[in-house]
Amino acid sequence: MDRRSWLSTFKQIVGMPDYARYLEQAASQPPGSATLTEQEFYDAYLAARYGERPPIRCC
Amino acid sequence: MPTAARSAHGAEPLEGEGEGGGEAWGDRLRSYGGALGAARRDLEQPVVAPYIAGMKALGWIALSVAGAVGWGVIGLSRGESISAAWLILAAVGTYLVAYRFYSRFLANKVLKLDPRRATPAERLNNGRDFVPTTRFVLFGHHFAAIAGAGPLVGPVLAAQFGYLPGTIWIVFGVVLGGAVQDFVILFGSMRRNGKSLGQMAKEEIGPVTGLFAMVAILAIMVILLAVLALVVTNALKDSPWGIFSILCTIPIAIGMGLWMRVIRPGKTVEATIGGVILLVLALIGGRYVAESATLAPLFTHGGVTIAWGLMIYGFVASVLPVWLLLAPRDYLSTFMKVGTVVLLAVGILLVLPPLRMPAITSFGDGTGPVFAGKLFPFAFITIACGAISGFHALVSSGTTPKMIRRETDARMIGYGGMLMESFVAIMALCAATALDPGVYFSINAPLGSLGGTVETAAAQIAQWGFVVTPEQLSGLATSVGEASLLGRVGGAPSLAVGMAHIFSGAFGQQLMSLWYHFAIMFEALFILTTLDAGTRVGRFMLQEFLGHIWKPLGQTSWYPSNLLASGLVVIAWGYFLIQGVLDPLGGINSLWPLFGISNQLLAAVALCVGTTVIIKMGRAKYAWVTLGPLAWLLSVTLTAGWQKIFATDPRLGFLAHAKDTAARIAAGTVDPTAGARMIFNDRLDAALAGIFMIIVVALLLASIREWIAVVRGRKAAEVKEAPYVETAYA
Repeated sequence: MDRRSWLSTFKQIVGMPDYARYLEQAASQPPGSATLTEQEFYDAYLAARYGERPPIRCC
Repeated sequence: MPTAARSAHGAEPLEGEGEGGGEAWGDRLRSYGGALGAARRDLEQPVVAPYIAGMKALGWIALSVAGAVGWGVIGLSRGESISAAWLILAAVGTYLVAYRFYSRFLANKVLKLDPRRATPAERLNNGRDFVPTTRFVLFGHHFAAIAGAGPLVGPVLAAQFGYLPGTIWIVFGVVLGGAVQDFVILFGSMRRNGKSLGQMAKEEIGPVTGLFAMVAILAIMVILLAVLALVVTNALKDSPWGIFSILCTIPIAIGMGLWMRVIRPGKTVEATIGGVILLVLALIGGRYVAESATLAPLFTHGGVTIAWGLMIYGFVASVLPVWLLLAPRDYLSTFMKVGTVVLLAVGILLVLPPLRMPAITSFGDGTGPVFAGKLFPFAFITIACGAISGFHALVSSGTTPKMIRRETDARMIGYGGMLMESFVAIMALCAATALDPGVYFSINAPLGSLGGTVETAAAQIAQWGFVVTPEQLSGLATSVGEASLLGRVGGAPSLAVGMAHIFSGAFGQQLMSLWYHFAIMFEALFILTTLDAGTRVGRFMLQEFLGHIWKPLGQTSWYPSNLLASGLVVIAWGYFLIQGVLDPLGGINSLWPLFGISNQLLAAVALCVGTTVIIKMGRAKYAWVTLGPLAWLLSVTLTAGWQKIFATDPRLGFLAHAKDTAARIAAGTVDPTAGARMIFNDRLDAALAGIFMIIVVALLLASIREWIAVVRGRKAAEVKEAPYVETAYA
């Protein structure tokens, strides 16, 4: 695996937001929907993750 | 959408359905091509298969034999101390065999995982919570979510009975119970677009049941937070090194938060690495603080002060913006958690310490100093998370089911993830039983029973049947940089001593005190993260309830509501925490069994839901996979609950303890106000245990009614799954 995918793997395991991955997914979406900046994406990610149903950590 | 919905699994797409004839044809061609390819592979199989199949079979036979040898050595070693290697061999051999055969049976016959069925991550992909994730990464993510202090504390406490009962329950309990529960619930939630356990209970069994389940979940969360906070408090009591290091983690996390959002937005990995470096510096700095005459008293605090500190921290952390404290702590503690578990595994494998604790001690009769209760049922209650944990059902119906890429991944993630957690429990058991038994009891028995000095402690331990000298005890405390290790109940300090022995044996002899405080800090770090995250989860649950009473309270964006709900949750667990700190029996004695019982009862709830799902899928003949562990769990937890409430031994039964305290107040040996508070707490604990038991029995009866109705045919066996959509992946 190249450095980019090691980083992505690490981020996903620890639960960090992965902006590069979001951009890849946004590129495959139909144009017209706004792409979030890194700052906005970070906020949206945290809001989604810790917002409505915060992740339950076990004992 | 690229794929057309099918009317039933495997049927042709209905005419007129689908986005366009061309696309549907394209899919059919693709899947036909896939089928053709598979057929061709099948034709190829007979030529290549027997050789490979034979080698694989030999491999599994060898592994089974190795595991059996491990068990054999454990079983046949009467009296001699055996090496941890045999425990690990037996455990790992059993896990692998169970994974290969039992989980495959569950996946193929009972749950029927379908690799051609699109998962919610694929169908509802939004780049945030519904994100298809490769199975190895998701395994790590799920494991990081379920791993915590539970598998570290429970087995250490249960070592009171010797290493054998703990080992047997950790290994066979997980293979037949815990991993099955996690797997089935993960599967159920995945098929329902990531619904939570409470929601599944509501939909599959009944709305009242769902409500009961949610109440139980909130109560269990409060007890969990209180117990974990107590573990941290006991570890940090009168320890300037420890308190300094842990206090440092707060500004470090805030610094990370500011870095990741304001200074260099998005650079999360950078910030985490910086955080880890600062943490190590804080750890080393702690030694100087402890040895300095001016700074040490500043950081030396008793249990009550620490408890209040934790409560204030929990409240503040759960209302501050997530990016500032919660998220950075989360990253830091997850990173440390996974890293330290790996380090411990490497350390144990390098050192392979001999186990000094006997296989079975005499304390199985209920006279044990660490906690009261006979081997049955309390060995199983105490171990909780290492073998089967109801809390995992909450995690398995949390973020993970929304990230599964292909249904068949659920086997590795659900079943395999729990096996890994169980392995952590085995390692904790090895670390604790590698300690000299006299040392183990000097740390884990409450201070009151030890007498307070190393001399009285050594004398008392000799009465229990283990030899240790006062010099050994004071020497050990000095070597780890503490004033005293006596009566530091809660599992964390003794585990830290065990880990320090192992790490210094594997990595560096001179660093004993550093390893000890590293072990304490690592466990305290993620307990604290569990505290603030758990308070936040509890706050959301409570707001959901309160919203039904008065609408504005349910709005999670309304700040006053957040403050109120957070405050209530913190007061709830803070109450039990203070109760535990002031308890002369050490707090763990009464709180950990309460946690264990409630945790196992939640597991029983999850298994009820799992059984309902299996029966409603029309596979009632396989329902024994969840009914078996359910029956066992119910017998263990209901017995334990009954004994905790009604047993006549004041060390064991809450009501008996209340009666005993009342007698002592009358006799004048106990202060009336303190005594009245203790009596109230005993009755409260008894009431809690009773309420849990009633909720679970009610849920069980509601479930049984549902099962009988479906099996008898009075009710249709229909599941409320998301409709079948074929996957677009190859």
